Amino acid sequence: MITKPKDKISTIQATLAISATIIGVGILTLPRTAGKAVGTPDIWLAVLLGGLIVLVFGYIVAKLSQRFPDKTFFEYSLDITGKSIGYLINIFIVVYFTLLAAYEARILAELIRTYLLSRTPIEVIITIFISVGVYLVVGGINPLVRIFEFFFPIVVFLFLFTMFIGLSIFELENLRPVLGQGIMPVLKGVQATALSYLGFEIMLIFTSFMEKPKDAVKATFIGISLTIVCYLITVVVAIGGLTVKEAQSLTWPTAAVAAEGEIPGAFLERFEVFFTIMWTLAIFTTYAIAHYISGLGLGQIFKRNINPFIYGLVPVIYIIAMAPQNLNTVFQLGDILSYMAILTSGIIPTTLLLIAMIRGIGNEKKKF
Amino acid sequence: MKRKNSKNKLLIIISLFMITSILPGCWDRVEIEELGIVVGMAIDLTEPEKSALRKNLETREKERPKHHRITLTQQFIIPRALIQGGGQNQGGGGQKPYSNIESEGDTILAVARQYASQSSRVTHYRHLKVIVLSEEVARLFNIKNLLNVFLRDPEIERDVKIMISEGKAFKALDVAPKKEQIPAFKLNQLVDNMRRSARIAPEVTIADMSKRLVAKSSFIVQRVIPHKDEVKLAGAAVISGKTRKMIGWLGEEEVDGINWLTGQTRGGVVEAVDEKTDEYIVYDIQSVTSKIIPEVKDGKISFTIEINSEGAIGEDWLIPGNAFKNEFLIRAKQAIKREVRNIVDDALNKTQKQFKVDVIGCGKQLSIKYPQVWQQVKDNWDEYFSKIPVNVQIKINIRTFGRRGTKR
Repeated sequence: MITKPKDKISTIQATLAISATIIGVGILTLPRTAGKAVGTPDIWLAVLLGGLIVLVFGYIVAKLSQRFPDKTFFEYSLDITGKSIGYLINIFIVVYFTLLAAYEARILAELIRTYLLSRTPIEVIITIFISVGVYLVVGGINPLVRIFEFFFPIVVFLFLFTMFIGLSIFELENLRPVLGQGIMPVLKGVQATALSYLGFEIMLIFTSFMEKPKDAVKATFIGISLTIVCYLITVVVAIGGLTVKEAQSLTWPTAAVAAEGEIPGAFLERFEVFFTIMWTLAIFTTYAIAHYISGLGLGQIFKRNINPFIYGLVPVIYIIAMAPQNLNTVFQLGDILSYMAILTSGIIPTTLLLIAMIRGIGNEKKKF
Repeated sequence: MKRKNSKNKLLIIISLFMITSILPGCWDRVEIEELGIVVGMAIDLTEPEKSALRKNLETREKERPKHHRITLTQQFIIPRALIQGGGQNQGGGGQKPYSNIESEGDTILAVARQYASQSSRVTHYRHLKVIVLSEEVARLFNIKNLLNVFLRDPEIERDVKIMISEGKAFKALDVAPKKEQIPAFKLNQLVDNMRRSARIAPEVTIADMSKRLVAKSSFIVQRVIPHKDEVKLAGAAVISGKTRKMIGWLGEEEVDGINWLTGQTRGGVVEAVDEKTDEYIVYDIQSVTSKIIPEVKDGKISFTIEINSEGAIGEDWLIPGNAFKNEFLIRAKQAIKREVRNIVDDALNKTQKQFKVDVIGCGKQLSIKYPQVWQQVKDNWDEYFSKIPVNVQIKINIRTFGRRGTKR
């Protein structure tokens, strides 16, 4: 029985896991979704504000998990709320991560269909993607975070490189006026931008794997901050290069920045293909984590070895990924996910932390 | 134990077979010799007689929306002819290295796909360089609709250049150039080379165009003029941000003026006339910057455009024309200023007063500096702009006069 794996991860690994999870498909559409929500060039402010709000919830998630340093969320939720409600919450979280995994797989397939392999059936792409993912996920948490350590610098480097290319079409005037229509559009957009940070809730589970759970808050903060920086760079370059209105009308605005940019004098062209290849890595990390957590959740709910559940989830994820009829339904799935994220990373952790504090369950601060 | 081993081996072999069947990614494979590489496109209106002939063939004509028929010309590269032409330069009699395929229909995509039924090759748009719209088409259709297919298709780059032709667009793709062998490449090259000239409108890509169209701002697009055996970039078409259609032409001098106003002049010369002697002084432009400063006073909008230029005296027809003396430089400066002012005023008059459009980006600056005011006027900006006073200030700095200062 591996309901409670002994594997431990370092603080850096936990930090990277958070960044790698948040940075997934959200960034591809961020200039469009945020552009629609804000409507003025102040999107970057909304992204920043959204990030700061998410830091608060990140703190709550980390604090909650720190009270139970040797238990995952699926175990301590039962301690806090009792079995019946606890199981309900656990199942909700498992459903959430399963949907997330399916969503990531589908978006990746759509992206590849658009930019790389237009005639390859997406069924094949999704199958290959999930197969590779399963191979990694059954290895447990350590191979998983090691892959993150390995991928993360590559993704960051390539990301910065494509953004650098995007700078060739950058015009500061497209980002002005700042707050031309006051602060209201920004505030209206904050909800959308805050939701683009979904993924940090993995700390509900990952804290228990940390060698030093007391570093959980630090890891969460750094992990989220890294993402805020990436997001800011993305929207500044995308809106500066494309203008708000154009970004609103493009399916994959971030890829369009890469597509339109060019290195003057260089013979290389078509950077969006390059961008897509690189983004496969980023989406893969998010997918793998989501798959792992839903497997782990099922294992801990049923108190069984998690591997059969991970294999069992494969067809489920595949079917959900293939379910949306068209791109709009896929994006709707994304919207549903972000609403679920309000619960999983906002309301549920906050409520549980309050209950735990009132009932005095779990470790009070120092102890570890 | 042994049985288990052989079972494992069998499993491995089976999975190897399965993997190799999916890994090569053959779905999207196209052999390079099967590709029909499209490098240029021209969009024209179909001649009425031709389209009438066509219509008789169509059976469902009544059910379809009334629509002007479009003739799409696609320029394909013929690689073999390209190689032969390179080898025996003076051959002359050889095959042209390109072929223009015309097809017609109601929508661009449908027309482009028609080609598939005419050819064994797979059309390939990843190397598309230029799209030429004919004047008729640009005046008739909302350009947003014309561009739509190119912006949707992920195969087509966002930085494909676009221009508008005087007369028929397909002619621009049919002028056999002498040096570059492919007309589309020639056009593409022209745009790059002509960046130096003051009289060429800045290049416009389909992405640029789309950004301006969604922002509802007016702008200018390069004009291409096909001659008998030459193709020339000169002047520009004015696209209205309101109707998203072409509304008129700007001549070379007017484009020159627009470039001064927007600070996009990268080089070129000004032929100024000295007032006293009525002789030429030629100013070699090194840099031009411009700044548009909006001002709102008591609800009245006005603009000041500050133009700053640096350059050298490149030629003069005065005797002795002593540039070592400062008076001469001052005289020259005044002459140049006068000339630039004429050019700029002409351009402003034509666009602001005659066409009633803002192609120099005054609206953008207003929206940055006075966002509240902008909210009120943005819907009818071009209309408002035509009545707003624009004050142009020109500053010329003559930095140098070359190796020889005087003719004496």
